[in-house]
Amino acid sequence: MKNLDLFEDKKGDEKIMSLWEIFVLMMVGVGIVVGVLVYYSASIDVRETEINLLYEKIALCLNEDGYLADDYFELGNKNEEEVLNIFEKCNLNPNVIFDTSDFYFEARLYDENGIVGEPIVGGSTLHQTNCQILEDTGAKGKEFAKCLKIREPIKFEINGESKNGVLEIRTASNQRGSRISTGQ
Amino acid sequence: MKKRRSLIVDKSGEIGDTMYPVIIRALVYLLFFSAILYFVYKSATGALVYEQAYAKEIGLMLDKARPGTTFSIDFEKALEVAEKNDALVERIVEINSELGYVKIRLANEGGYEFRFFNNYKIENEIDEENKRLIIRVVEELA
Repeated sequence: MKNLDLFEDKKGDEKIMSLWEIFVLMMVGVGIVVGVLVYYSASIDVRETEINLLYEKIALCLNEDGYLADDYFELGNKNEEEVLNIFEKCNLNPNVIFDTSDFYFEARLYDENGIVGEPIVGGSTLHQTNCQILEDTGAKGKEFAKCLKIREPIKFEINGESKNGVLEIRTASNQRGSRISTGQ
Repeated sequence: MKKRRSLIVDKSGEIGDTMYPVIIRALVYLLFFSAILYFVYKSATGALVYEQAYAKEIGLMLDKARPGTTFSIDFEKALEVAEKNDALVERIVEINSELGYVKIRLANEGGYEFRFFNNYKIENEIDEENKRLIIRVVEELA
């Protein structure tokens, strides 16, 4: 019986490309395509800008050159009618703030004894909780809304008495925008 | 006596034995990477990127705007992409002041939507000649 050596009788044609080479090439191609699609469909994050714009808008209508707006105490959120006042006063669109659940804002007035009057609140209160958690723990949640809290000194009048206080405004946004599906 | 053979002499052979597989392989690689580069280029300059960028840019502008403001935005790239995708010019920008959204469509299918919280009446038109988008913040909504 003829003893076959490992290297004998191993004849073969030279192939243009081996299966393994085609597989590697395909994997490289799929990798690049997936990478490009993920990169270019990624969302541009403008939430930081939005919370600053929302803060600016609320601050401009509640803080009138260092003095609290005269009708601040009528802008509480006891009922829907009163909630709408802050939207009218600051030209905010309630359809967007309430319907999308992407936004939240809150304004509180403090004097040396604590909070004065009712806080003015609008939007999704879920963000209020999340922002508080982020603030307390210092954690950074990628899926949580972006939050902003600014305190500014303010003069106000209550019961005929002039006082110095602090106006605290919190804003939050979790708007990422959305792709429109076909036909919309 | 064994004849000494130089490196060059007696190396005859058919050119097809060695060169054709190399050329074909090189062509396959060239085609493959050209296709990949073309795909990356199309993705980078396609509707997907510009729809989102324009929608967010306009949305943020409207958030900051006050009544009486007029914006004139360079819209050349948007018109170019829309033309490439056969999108209708009148459908490119849709701004709804009451519901507070801006939609940008640079292709026949899909698009991008972004919400703005300012409560003003907005008017917009595309100046095709100068390739600009004109947005006017007119007045407060009732």
